[in-house]
Amino acid sequence: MVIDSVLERLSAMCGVSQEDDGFRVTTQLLYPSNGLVRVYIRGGSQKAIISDDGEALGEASAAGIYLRNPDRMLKQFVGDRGLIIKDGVLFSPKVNLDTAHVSVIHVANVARDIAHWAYEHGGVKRSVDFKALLARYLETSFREQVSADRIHGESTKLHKFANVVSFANGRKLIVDPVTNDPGSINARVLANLDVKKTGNPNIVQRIIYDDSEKWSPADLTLLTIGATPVPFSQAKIVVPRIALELGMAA
Amino acid sequence: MAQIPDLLEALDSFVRLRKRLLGTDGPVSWVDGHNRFERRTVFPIELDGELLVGARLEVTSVQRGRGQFRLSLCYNAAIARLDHTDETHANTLKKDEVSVPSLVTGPHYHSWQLNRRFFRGLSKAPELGLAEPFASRGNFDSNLR
Repeated sequence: MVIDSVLERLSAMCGVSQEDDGFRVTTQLLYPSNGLVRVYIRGGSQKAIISDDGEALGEASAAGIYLRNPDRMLKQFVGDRGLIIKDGVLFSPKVNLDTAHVSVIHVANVARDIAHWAYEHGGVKRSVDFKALLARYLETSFREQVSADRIHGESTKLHKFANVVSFANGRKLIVDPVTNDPGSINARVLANLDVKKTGNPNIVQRIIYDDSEKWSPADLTLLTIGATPVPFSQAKIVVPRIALELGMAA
Repeated sequence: MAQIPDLLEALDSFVRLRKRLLGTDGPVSWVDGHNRFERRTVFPIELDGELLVGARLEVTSVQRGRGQFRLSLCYNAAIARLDHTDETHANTLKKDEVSVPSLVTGPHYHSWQLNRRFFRGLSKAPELGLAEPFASRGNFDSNLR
């Protein structure tokens, strides 16, 4: 049978075992956490489909990586390589059994590439953490002086800011956290710009960005349009200095 | 910004200290994983009376095989993981002082102690490249004890 010659060729390179509905091939390729990449052969006497049974994306989810709609994110990447992804499972089109051993190697390599891509580009839930850390620091340092506040912009729109430090002399310091995603950047730049354009001398603004993440120069420049950006790593030095100046001002 | 050595120290403490899972006494809600074979649920973690943002235990059932599951201890991403599966893990990255077999087939544990050198900061998932065999204790509940 053709399948026997395919399995013989694969056995020279990989571990092959029989499953209920086909064969499992354990390759020598490695996922990011060093699990061996496995693929599955299922089909009839002439044609077969090679699949990763979702293990590439399983590797990502086991690492705590979140991908929103992975099928859509990976459709082009996978399609460019002649493969299909559906419901998180990578698979080949039907292939002739006499070339299935080559497809096995191809699917395994693409599965490995998907997992590595997810480790580099997939999200880990961090943004809430950063904002909470900043809020906790400000509450500890400024106690009842800090609170959420709504401040009018030049457009007359009322903007909400999570951390506003108020001083007895009527001055206010806006300490506004921004995370490295387009939605957060646009929203915070716009709110700060609108307030800045009022020219109110009693309001000082700073945008705090999480510098443990990679920021593009363009995005950092965009932040400066809203207010002076301060990296989170420097906030404990910069914010008290500004607060001291504002509190002492007549 | 906290530097990597500071974060490593904090994570050492996080792993070492006694933690409490929240929500284990109520109904558990499962959601789809990244592929059609997986279902996942998440338990927040309390430490010293505070619920830590980003800290959680993720339980993933792997429906391809009976009794296969993963437990991921996460601080943002997974920093330790038990793979109770039939997969094969290769310890190609071990150093001489680490005593783990070169290949582990079946249940294995990616401990924080073995893998802390792969930590790259809180915004990247560490590649947990080392694992030791895990002696299965039978069913799912027994393995959690």
